[in-house]
Amino acid sequence: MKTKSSFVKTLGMEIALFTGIFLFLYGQIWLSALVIVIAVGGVFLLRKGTFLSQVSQTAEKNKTFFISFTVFLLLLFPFLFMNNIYIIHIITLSFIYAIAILGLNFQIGSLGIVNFSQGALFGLGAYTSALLATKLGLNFWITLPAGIIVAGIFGFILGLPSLKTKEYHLSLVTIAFAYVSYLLILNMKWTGGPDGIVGIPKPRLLGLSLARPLAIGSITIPGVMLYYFLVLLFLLIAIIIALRLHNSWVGLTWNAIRDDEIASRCYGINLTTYKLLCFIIGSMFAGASGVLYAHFAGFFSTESMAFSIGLLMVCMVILGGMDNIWGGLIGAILLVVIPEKFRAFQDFRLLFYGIILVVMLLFRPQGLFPNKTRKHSGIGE
Amino acid sequence: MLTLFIQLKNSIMLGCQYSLIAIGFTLFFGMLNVVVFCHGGFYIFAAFAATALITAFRFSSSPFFLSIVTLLLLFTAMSITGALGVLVERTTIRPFRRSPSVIPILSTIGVGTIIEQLLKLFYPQGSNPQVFPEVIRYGKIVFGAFFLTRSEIIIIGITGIIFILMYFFINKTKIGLQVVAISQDWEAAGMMGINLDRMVSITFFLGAALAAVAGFMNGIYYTVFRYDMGSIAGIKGFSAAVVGGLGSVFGAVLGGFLMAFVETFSAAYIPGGSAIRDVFSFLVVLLFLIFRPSGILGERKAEKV
Repeated sequence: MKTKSSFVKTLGMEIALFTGIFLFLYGQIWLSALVIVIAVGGVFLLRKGTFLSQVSQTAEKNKTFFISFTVFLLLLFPFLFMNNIYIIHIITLSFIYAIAILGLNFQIGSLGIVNFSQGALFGLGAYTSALLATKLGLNFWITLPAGIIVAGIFGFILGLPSLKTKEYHLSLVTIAFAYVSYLLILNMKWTGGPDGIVGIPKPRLLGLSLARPLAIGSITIPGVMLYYFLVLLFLLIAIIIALRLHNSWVGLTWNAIRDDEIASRCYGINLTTYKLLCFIIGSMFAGASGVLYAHFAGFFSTESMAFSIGLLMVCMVILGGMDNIWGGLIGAILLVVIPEKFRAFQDFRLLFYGIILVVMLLFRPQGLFPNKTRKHSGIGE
Repeated sequence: MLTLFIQLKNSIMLGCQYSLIAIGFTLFFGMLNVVVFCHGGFYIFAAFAATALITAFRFSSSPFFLSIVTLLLLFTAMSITGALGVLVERTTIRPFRRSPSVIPILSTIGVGTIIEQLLKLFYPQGSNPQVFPEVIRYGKIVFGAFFLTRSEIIIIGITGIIFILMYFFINKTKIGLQVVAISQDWEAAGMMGINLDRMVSITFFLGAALAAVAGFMNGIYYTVFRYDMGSIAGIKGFSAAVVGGLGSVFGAVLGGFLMAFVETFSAAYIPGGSAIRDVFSFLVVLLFLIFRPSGILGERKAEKV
C-alpha cells in the first residue's frame, strides 16, 4: 500500500515538474516569471531544504520508474515545441553544457579542486573538431573522438601541476591555463584568430544529415530536433559513465582524497593516478561537450571559451550541488535556460550569475540537491 | 640602450601597481589563509570612484607639482575602497572561516563579478572605456634622450613612500605587530588578547586601500580604464604574490616587479610577443608553482593531517 502511494506521488511530482517546465518555456515572460516565483517560494516556504530533499527522496524510492519516465518525457518533450524551434535550441544547448558539468563535478565535487579551465578545455575540444572538419573535411564520427582525446591530453597536462600544488595555488594554475590557451588560440593564424571558425558542418547519422529536416509521412522533424536526440543520447551515455564512476571504488577514492589527502596517502592510495584520472576524465567530458557545441552552432570562436565560461560552469556545479550528478545537471539546465528566457535582461546575466553564486554559498552551500552520505556495507556494493 | 631604459621604466611603472596589489593578497593570506579573488575588483572600483569624485567636484589639474587636492582625492578614494573591502570581508569571507578552502575561493570570485558588473551596469556609460581626468598636469624632466614625466615621478615617489610606511607599520607599530602575530598563530594571538575581528577588518581596509592606490596610478599613468580590467589585474597581482611567496610582504614587492619585468620585456624583445605577453608571465608562474611552490621568500611548511 505504501509503495503504491509513493508511486502515485512520484508520478504526480514528475508531471507537475514537467508541466512547470513546459509553462516556463512556452509562456510569455510574465508566465515564466510566475513559474519561477512559485518554485522559489515553494522551496523557501516549505522550510528551505526539506521540500527539495523530499523530492529527491521520493524520486529515490521509485528510481527505475522515475528515470525511465523522465527519459520517456524527454523523448516526447521536443514534439510539444514543434512550432517554436528556438526553445528546442535552448534545451539542446543546456544539455550540451550539462555534459561538461558532469566532468567538472568530478573535480569540484568529488576531488575538491576548483577548476576554472573547464571552459578552456571545452574550447580545445571544439577547436580540434572544428579544424579537422573544416580544413580536412573529416567526418563528425572521426572528429568527435579526436576532440575528446585532445581535450583529455590537455587535461593530463593540466593535471600534472596538481600533483605538486594545492588549493589556491592549484586554482591559480587552472586560471593561468584558461588564460594561456585563450590567448594562444586568439593570436594564432591557423585557428582563425578572433574571427573564429565558420561553417562547421552538421554531423550525418546513418546517411541522414542533421542539417536538413526529416520528413516521415506528413510530419516533418526539424534538424534541430534531430540534433536534440543526438545530444540526449550523448548526455545519457555521459550520465551512465558518471554514475558508474561515482558509485565505484574510484569515486570513493576521490572523496577520500578530498577529505584528507595525507591520510589517504598513508592508507596506500596512489594520489598521482587518481588525481590525473580525475583531470583526464573531466577534460574528456568537456571535450565531448565542446565538439557537440561547435557542430551544433556551426560557428566557434574564442568568445565561447573565455574565462567567464569557465566561471559560469563552476556556478552551475555550485547551484546544483557539489558531488551530486543530478544536481549538476539541474544547475546546468537552470543557468542556461533561465537567462535565455529573460533575454530582455541580457546585460544583467553575469551579475545574476555572481549573485546566485554568493547567495547559494551563504544560504545553501550544499547546493539545491546536496550530496547524500554514501551507504557502503562493503567494497563489493 | 635607450629602448632598454624605456622598457625598464615601463616595467617599473607596471611593477609599482602589481606589487601594491600583491601586498593586499599577501596580507589577507597571511592572516586568514584565504585568497581574496575580488581584489582586482577593489582596484578597478577605486579608479571609478576617483573619476566620479573628480567629475562631481570639478577638480582641475593644478599647476603645482603635486597638489593637496590630488592627495586628498587619493585618500578619499583609498578610504571608500577600504570601506568596501571591510564590507566584503564582513559579508562574504567571515561566514566561511571554518569552511573548506573551496568555498571562499568561489564566494570572492562571485563578489568580484558582482562589483565588476555593478560598475558596468550602473555607472553612467560604464560599459565603455572611461577616461581618467587629468589630475597631474603634463610636464617632464629630460636627461638627454631619456625623460621622466611628472606623473611617472609621482607614481614612483608614492609607491616608495608606501613601501617605507608599510615597513614601519609592520615592524614598529602596535597594530602592525598584532597583524604579524595573528598571521603567525591565529589562536595564540587571540589568547593574548588581540581583538581578532578588529584586526581582520583593519587588514582588509589596508589591503583594499593599497589596491585603490594601484587603481589610481593606473588612471593617471594610462588615462584610460575599463570595468573589466580589474579581474586580469587581480590575477596578475595574485600571481605576483605567489611568485614572491604568499604571506611575505617583501616577497610580494619582489614578485610584483618580477612579473612586470617578464611582461614588459617579453612584449618588447620577443617577436610577436606583445599580443601574448600574458602567456609568458603565466608561464613564469607555472614554473614557480611546479618547482618552487613556496615562492621566492615563502617558508616551506610541513603538511599536517
